[in-house]
This record gives sequence, structure tokens and C-alpha cells, in this order.
Amino acid sequence: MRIIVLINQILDPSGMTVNRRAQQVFVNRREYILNPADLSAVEAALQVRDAAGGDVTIVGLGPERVVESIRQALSMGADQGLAIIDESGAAADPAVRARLLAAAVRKAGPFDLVLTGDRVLDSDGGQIGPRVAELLDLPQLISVETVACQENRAEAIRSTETGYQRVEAPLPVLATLPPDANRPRFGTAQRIVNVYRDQSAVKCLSPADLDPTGEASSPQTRSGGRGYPTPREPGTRLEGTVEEITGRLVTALGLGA
Amino acid sequence: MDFSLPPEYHALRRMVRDFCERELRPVIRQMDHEEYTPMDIVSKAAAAGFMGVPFPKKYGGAGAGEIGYCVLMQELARWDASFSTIIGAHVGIGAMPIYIDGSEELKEKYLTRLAKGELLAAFALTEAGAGSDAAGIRMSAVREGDSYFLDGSKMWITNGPIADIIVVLANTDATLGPRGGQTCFVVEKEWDGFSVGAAEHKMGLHGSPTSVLNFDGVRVPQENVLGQVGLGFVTFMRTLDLGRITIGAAGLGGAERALEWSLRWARARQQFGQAIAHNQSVHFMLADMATETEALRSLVYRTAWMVDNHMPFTKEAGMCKLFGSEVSSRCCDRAVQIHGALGISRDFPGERAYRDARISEIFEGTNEIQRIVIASELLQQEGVRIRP
Ligand SMILES: Cc1cc2nc3c(=O)[nH]c(=O)nc-3n(C[C@H](O)[C@H](O)[C@H](O)COP(=O)(O)OP(=O)(O)OC[C@H]3O[C@@H](n4cnc5c(N)ncnc54)[C@H](O)[C@@H]3O)c2cc1C
Repeated sequence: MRIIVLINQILDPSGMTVNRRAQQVFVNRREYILNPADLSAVEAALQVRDAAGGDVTIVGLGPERVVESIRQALSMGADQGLAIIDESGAAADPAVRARLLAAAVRKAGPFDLVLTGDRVLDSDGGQIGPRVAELLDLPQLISVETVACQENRAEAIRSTETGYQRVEAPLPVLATLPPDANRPRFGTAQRIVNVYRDQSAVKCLSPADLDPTGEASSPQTRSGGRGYPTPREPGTRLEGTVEEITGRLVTALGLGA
Repeated sequence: MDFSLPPEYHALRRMVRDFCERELRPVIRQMDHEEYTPMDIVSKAAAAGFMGVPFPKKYGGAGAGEIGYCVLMQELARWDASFSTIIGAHVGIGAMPIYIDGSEELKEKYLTRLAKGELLAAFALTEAGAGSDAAGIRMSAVREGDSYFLDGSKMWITNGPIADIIVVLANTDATLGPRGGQTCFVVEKEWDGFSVGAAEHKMGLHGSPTSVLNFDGVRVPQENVLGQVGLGFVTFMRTLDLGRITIGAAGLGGAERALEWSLRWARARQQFGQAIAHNQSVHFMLADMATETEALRSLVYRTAWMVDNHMPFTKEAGMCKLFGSEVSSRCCDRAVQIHGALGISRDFPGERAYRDARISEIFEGTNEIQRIVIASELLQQEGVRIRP
């Protein structure tokens, strides 16, 4: 079983404060963490590997510091790391990001399973998984809590508002996981030290290695600015016994006789 | 000069932090209120490799040296000094003497399993009549054939009730005293004649079990002599030298946390129409806490660096223990003061930290003994010997 996990890195939200009036986010402590949903994907990949054998390759795309997050995944037990170092910021565009990641997956060789987070905590776009699946022409299992592989099929469980859904697809397949899908294991002290002292633990490429013509890297998304949703008026609280509340609610909704 | 820690230590710190938030945090209150030792969390800490942080890889460790070990202890103590004491007694004084002076056979037999956390260790020196005067121990070890028979009792032994092996000091020749007459042994808890006595009910460190250990004619095979016969006292003192640095590291974690609590409360608490952070008396407390904490950080990590670079460090280690315990006590004391009545409420974690910190001024050699160690090192450099 060859598994590839696509990861992203984000600013640690616990180091930020949001000022609504100034419509600004202040960064008090600039630390980066592995995107929580991608961390779930790493854990899911390790579980599949531990059950079915094989190996896990971590692919990260971002500025130099993304190597840190790949190392974190390696210290949890992943087998290989591949970083695509993009200092230009072009990969902030989900279309560009997905194209480069798809190229990296192709470059990483044959695979059975591609896993990634179902959203990035900062932009909350949720686009990368589906886009990469389309580019690689893979079936996609989106926002699933668990993934298991049997023979040539991947089986996954997705929680919905009314219960659980079991979904499956033939391998190779791409699946995305939400941030709270599992409890990611801790790296071990020994692996952390090994991964940092081994300079070749993470292989580095540049976008040009994957996209020599630069075509994939041309942006498609344009930012039209940002803003907050307009604040809503506070609601009205209905008090009383159940009968009274029900009566008032019916009246308030204009349904009363 | 470069004061930055290499990145692997940051990664280690982050991992330990995550571990504490996820695994340790939910049980800290129960540990304190019920004198509860969370053995399941100790096992999880072992699985994350905590027990082998300072030891080389060939013994199942992480090879992170004294610096890595200080990072571990600092982060654990930020959350809970009981838990850091369990780990510290196991790694820093329980397994450490086997690493520094044990034979290759003893290392293979015990150190690898200790470093992986398959076995837990305790360090047994103190007796009813021998506290600060550690050389005054009464426990005897009598040789018969290729075995020694141990008789006596140890007191105040951290991890006593949970340890699988005990590193213990006994007199092999009482006439020679600490110079040639005391020997260090590794004892397994299953051996006949060994028993765990009463547990202490302490002011703090409630989650870290401390007890009497009884040795009633325990037969120890000669392979379990740690180091050379007659030189056990030296092994024990060398071990304590190292242990003292990590008391400093743990004190650093405690002091940092006390400052964090204080900063938060000083901003949040309103009196006389403004946050108490606007009072100069509060500024002075915060400034002193921060200054002492930074001074402690430099002392601890520089001393750990000296160890990893094979420099003599006895004096500095005494300073780490002395200053580390006093800074964490003072910072916790100020944190309690800044919190007012809340400061003494059992709902405030600083109340527990205050009680825990006080103990670090006593164990692993009281702070008076640390001053004696530091002064005798200073005077020795001047050619004056004051140690007996
Ligand atoms: C929570 C806890 C855990 C412990 N864990 C362990 C353990 O794992 N293993 C172990 O072996 N021991 C352990 N100890 C024992 C600890 O190391 C001793 O308590 C400590 O060394 C002090 O000895 P004592 O309590 O007998 O005090 P004493 O030696 O009786 O000292 C009483 C007072 O006299 C002062 N004093 C004594 N001699 C002098 C002197 N020459 N000059 C100036 N002042 C002096 C001391 O500083 C102190 O203030 C632990 C103790 C505690 C509280």
C-alpha cells in the first residue's frame, strides 16, 4: 500500500487576536503549525499503513518552513518527506496549489491512496482535495472520518447530520478528512531527534522542477478584498412554560389563528 | 555567541506541550486532590519516548542529552510538578547512575528497558537518620559468596511504590565510610525481603508517590553491584549533580507558568474601576518574576550545555537547584498574591503550584546544602578544602 499525504502549514491561531472594530487580525506570536485537518490525514495514513503494510510519503507545499511540518509528520512515523518550496506565494491560489500538488503526486510514483485534510483552517476553502482528485482523475471520498483499505477498495465512514454513511471506491482513491476525525499520535522523542539530525530526511523540489513551463503556476483566483459579515441583531428570548413558549413562538412566527 | 536552541529541541518542546495538554491536563486536579498517580499517563509518556530523552540511541534513548532532558522537564513542570517529579526520579536519578557508572552488562539488562519505560526506577539514599548527612547511612550490605545481603530501610523515596527497580546505597564496610565503604546496588522489586512501606502524605506533589522502602536480608547477586565496590557514594553524588540541573529546569517551567497566570489575571481583574495591571506594585511583581525567570533560563541551559560539552559543572548544578527552586517558589508566591483570594482557592492551579514549588527547596539536597556545595567549590578553586 503506497500512501501519499498532502499537507499544508498555517499560522497558529492561538497566537492571534481578532479586532472586529478595526477589521484586523493581529499576530502576537508568529508560529506555524501543521494544518489540523492534514494532521488527521497523516494519522489516518499511518493507521492504514500499520494495518495493511506499505509506506507513507508526506508532500508539503509552501515556503521553506513547510519542511518543519513535514518533519513533524515524519516524527509521527511517516516514511518519506517531499517538500515543494515555493517562496513566491503563488501556491496560495488553490488552483495553482492543486496543480502543483497533482504534479508532485505523479512525480512521487505509483500510489494507492492520497489523503489530505478536508479544509485549511485559515482560508477554509475546502478545494484542494477535490481539485487534486479531478486533476489525477481519481474517485474522491470527501470529509470522511475513517479510511480502511481492503484488497482493491477503500472503505470510508462519513458522519452526516442524520447518522453515518459508508462509502467505498476502487483504489487508487483520494480521501479528505476533517480536523477532528481522530486523535493524531505524538511523535516520539527519538524520532524527532533522528528526523532533525538527518539532513536528507526531507527531499526538496521547487515548483519549476514540477512545472518547467510555469503554466501551472499562473494564478487563477483574484482576491476582491475581505470583510466581516454584518453583525446581526440579538434575538428575542422566549420565557415561560413549554406551553407558553410554544404559544408565543406560534404568534411570533405569525402562524397563530 | 549563539543562544538559540537547535530546532530539534523546539520540536521536542512542542511535542511535550501537546502531550501535556491532551493527556496530562485532564488528570492534574485529580492527582492533587486524591493523591492519585496516573500510571496510564506514565505509560503514554513512555510510548512518546520521554524516559529515554537524555540517553544515547544504543540504549534505546533519543540521544537528546542534558539539554533535551531540560526541555522535557521544563515543559512537564509547566503543567504539573508531580508528573515531572515522577519522570525526573525515574530518568534523572533512577536510570542515570546506571548510565554513568554501570557495567555494559547492567546497561544491557536494565538501561535499555528503563529508557523505553518498560521498567520504572527509584533512587534510594535517604534514611531516617541520614538526610542532609547522606554519608551517614546505616543500611548494610554483607557479602556471602557471590552475593550481597542488604538490610535496612530507606525513607522519602520518590516512585517507591511504583518502581520496578531500585538503585540503592549501602555500607559494604562501615569503618571506611563514604570513601571506600559504600556501594551502590540495583535491586528488583520482586526479590525476597524487599517491601514497600508507608506512603507519605505531603504538602504538595500529591501525584508523585513517596514512601519508605524496607530491605530485610535482600539477596543481591554481585552482577548487580553498580560501579565499583566501595565507590557507590561517588556514583550517587555524581547522579545528584545531574539531577540538580533538572530541578532548575522544572523550576523554570513552574516560574514561567506562574508569570503567565499573573499576567492574565492582572489584565482581567478589575478593581477601583480599572484592571489591577495598572498598579505599580503589580508591575514590580511582574517585572521581578520575569527577570528572575530569564536569569534562571540562562543558568539552566548554559549548565546543561556544559554537561553536553563535557565540562565540569558541579558548582553550576548546585546553583540551578538553589536558584531554580527559589525562583519558582517566589514566582508562585507572587502569583498567589496577585490573584488575591482566588490565589488560595483550590480551583486555582497556582495554589497547587505554590505547594509543589516549596518542596523543591528541600529535596535532592536542601538549599542550605546547595549553598555549602557552591561555596566549597568556590573555595576549592582558591585552594581551601572545606568538605570533610
Ligand atoms: C518529596 C520528597 C521526595 C524525596 N525523594 C527522595 C528520593 O527519591 N530519594 C532519596 O534518597 N531521598 C529523597 N528525598 C529525601 C530528601 O533528599 C531529604 O529530605 C533531604 O536531603 C533533606 O534531608 P532531611 O529531610 O533529613 O533534612 P535534614 O537533613 O534533617 O535537615 C533539616 C534542616 O537542617 C538543615 N541542615 C542540615 N545539615 C546542615 C548543615 N550541615 N548546614 C546547614 N544546614 C543544615 C537542612 O538544610 C534543613 O533545613 C525526598 C524528600 C522529599 C520531601
